[in-house]
Amino acid sequence: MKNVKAIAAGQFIFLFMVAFFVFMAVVSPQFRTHYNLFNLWLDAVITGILGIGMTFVIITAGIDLSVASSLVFSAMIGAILMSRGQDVLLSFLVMLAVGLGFGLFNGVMVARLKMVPFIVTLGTLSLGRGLAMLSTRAKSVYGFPEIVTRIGSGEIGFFPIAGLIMAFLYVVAWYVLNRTVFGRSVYLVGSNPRAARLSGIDVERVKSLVYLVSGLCAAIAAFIQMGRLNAAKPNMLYGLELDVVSAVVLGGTSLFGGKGNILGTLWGTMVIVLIRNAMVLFGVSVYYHQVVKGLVILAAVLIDILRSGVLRKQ
Amino acid sequence: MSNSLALPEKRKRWTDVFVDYGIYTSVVILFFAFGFFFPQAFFSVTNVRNILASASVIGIMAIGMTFVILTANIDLSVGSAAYFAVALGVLAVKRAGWHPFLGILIIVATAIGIGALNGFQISRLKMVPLIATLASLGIFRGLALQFTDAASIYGMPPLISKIGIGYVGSAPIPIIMLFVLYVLAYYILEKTRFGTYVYAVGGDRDAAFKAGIHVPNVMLSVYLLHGFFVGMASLILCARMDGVVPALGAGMEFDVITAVILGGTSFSGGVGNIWGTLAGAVIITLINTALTILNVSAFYYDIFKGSVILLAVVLDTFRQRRMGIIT
Amino acid sequence: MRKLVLLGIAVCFVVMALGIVAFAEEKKEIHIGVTVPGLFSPAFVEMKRQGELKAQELGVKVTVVSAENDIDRQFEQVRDFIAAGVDGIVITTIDSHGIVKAVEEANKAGIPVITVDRKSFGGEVFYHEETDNFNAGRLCAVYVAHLFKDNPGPIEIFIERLDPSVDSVEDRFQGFMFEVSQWPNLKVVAAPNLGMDVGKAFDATINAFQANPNIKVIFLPGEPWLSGTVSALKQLGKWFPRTDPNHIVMVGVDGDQFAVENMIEGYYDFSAVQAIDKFVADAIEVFVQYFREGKKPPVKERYVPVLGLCPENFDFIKDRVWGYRVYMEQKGKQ
Repeated sequence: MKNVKAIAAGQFIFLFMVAFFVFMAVVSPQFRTHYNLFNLWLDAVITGILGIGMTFVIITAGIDLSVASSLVFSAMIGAILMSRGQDVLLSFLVMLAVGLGFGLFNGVMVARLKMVPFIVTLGTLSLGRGLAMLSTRAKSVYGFPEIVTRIGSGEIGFFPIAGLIMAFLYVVAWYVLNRTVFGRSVYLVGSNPRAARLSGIDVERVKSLVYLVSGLCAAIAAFIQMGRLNAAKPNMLYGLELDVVSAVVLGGTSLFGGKGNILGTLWGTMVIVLIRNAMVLFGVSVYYHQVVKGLVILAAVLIDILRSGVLRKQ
Repeated sequence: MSNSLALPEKRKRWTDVFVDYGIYTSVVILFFAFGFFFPQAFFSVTNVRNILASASVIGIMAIGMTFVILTANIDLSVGSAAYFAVALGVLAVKRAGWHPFLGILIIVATAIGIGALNGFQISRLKMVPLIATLASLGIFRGLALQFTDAASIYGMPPLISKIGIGYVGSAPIPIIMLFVLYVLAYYILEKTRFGTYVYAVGGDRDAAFKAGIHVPNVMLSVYLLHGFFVGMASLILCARMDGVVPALGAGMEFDVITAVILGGTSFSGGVGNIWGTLAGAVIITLINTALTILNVSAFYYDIFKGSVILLAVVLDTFRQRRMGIIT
Repeated sequence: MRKLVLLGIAVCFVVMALGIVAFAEEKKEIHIGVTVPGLFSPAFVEMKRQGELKAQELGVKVTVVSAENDIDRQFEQVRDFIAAGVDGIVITTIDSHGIVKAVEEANKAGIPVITVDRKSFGGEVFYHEETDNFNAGRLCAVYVAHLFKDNPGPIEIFIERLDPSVDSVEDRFQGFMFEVSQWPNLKVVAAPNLGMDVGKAFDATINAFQANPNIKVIFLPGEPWLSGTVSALKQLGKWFPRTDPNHIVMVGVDGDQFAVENMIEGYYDFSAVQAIDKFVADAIEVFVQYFREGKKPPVKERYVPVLGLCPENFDFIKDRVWGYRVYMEQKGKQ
């Protein structure tokens, strides 16, 4: 029953995305260009990959506000290593370790020490930024080996490599969430922790594992981000975490946990990116971008509420 | 008579004392610790006065936020609301040439209006507070940027700037506002029936509903009240800045929330008190001041802030554990 | 069925939000995209305004966006311009290394790029204009040294150091420090990092004076922070005009209208004026000449000298100070 509702929510955002895409393709010749569509996909990658981890976390009724900071810190560490001539693969492994480290810290705080996820990850957010700033004393690091830029912004045929990576990760995530025991336990922990515990699920372990997933996603996204600009700067991507949360919520995942759709997050990310693209192509004043984004989120939430009939119950 | 949840007394451990009164002793300890190393910077009436005045903006905003978090809600839009309110007020006074008193009214009314909007979405439309106020954050900052074309507008008339830098006798006006508003909040929270409703709704929403409390109305009123305090804090902000700048209030919500949590109010709602929030705001200000005086680079500032937040959470968790909310 | 209706409403909603603005504009032949670091600074605001005026004068369309000090966002904005099919791009970059990829992409797309105020360390740039930030900071220190040359000191200086990761203001800070190190009677007692947050000026000033009550000089690498500093000085009761022996010397870089106003009123001492206001306008003019007449700019790079504005030479050079022009315009309106 839960799963049917979850998929239905995902479908709405999917239809919306398709409708909007078609609308843009018809109306704007600049939209239809390969350059634009390619970059559209690339733009979605960072938020999209972070969204995978965030979806896992939110389904367990948690939240991870530190994703952007752990991404930036991973990126800085990777950048420093690579600029000192370290092997790319080794640097990437270190970055993964950093991301997992953040995830572990968050996971232990939330699951074992039972602390409120919102505040804990707020603390890790500040810590991560501070460490990133400290790592290079706020300077940027630039100039990475070619493989990095190739993965971050290069293509295979018509498709961006990073975009394909994101798609692959979503397939994996879908499989884990919907076809494995772990995935089902994530849903159950979010919707009914007592039932989960009675079914023999180690609730604490599941709750901390999802933060590890989030940290892992942040590290992967960090690697791609490095290839995007061929540079890493500690004060970039402020506010990204809020975009990620928005994408997840737009995709139909409930902040109360237990309900959620990983594909919905993908469509939510695409919608956010599409709308920004549309505003740019139409020449809408930059300040209205935030306004429109906020209104779209409100509209989506409102529609979700109307559909679930919560208001009628009063 | 206190309205805080009356739960069965658990065996008192030393940690309990620390958790209950730790925040106040922390303020005192921090103050003396910093003062030991920088006597001329801390140990004087002037300096205490300056610290309190600096704490006024976050402190007053934190009053409203305390009410909001007590009802198990949240508001991420305070910084943007402050910017929007101040922007409208400054535009009215500087561009349209209206009387400064009207400007003051506009700032406070706008803040209350935004509170009403948030409150309506959360209490009537049943939106999740995190998302509703997140959307407000973007919407109001964007609108204000559009209306002011992201300009910095300076030069407020004395009626307004006096709020930030004026004195009554030897007390700066922000400090007077701080104390008056805190006493007012204390009265509302602890001595009125509305206050009991606030605690009840936060402690157990269903039980409050069944007890006949009109939960949506309480939540809406809380957001309205909160808007009023945001308006008051915005006045001081406007006066200090002598106008409006595009980055006004950016990121302020996190400092405010930290102050409230540090001060003993629990995210789960129903537990907390207003004086703790004041102590929390003072601690944050003390740390900011010390970091500036110590010439500590901004790099360490974030690390420090993060650590303080985590400390706040640890305290909050001990509190919740003792209350039996978690095991 | 109901789902489709809701879907339709949602799409209409978003389209409405966009469509009105979009189609109201007339199509112009030349479209230039400009990205600036941020509009919290009156210097950048004036730069944007002059650019838009010049565009209007020449009959071209210009879109100015602010990157909010985020290099990733600036990169996205350049990409957006390429996607929107602009004819030329003007960049005031936040980070000379980080912008390279964006410039290269514009090169690939065949769109000429002009950089102003800060260079790009890579890619092909059509034209470049800047002022020397290091010397701007240095000039301020020279003036301070000149004021106190007969004073054995130590003269205590408070610097509102902004953000080391933003090259332009950091260069000014370094220039100031370089000059100060040559003068044994000048001593910097406080130089906190304020990030790029204008709101921190007030508290930082209060704290600085709390720790060092004898500060005699304040250096502002960016004059947007002046307003909060002034409010703080007023609250501390340390706001004295030049004629008063307790006067606190204030020097800064930019030359904006607030600095000019305070100098006229007798409180501000020195401003290293950047002629940044005309950069975007110049860039647009260069582009237009190239697109319409095929003329390339005579030099590939232009360095605009910094003017030192102080009470002694105020009347002499005030007409070359953009802040003075803005100040007079705003006074005329009231």
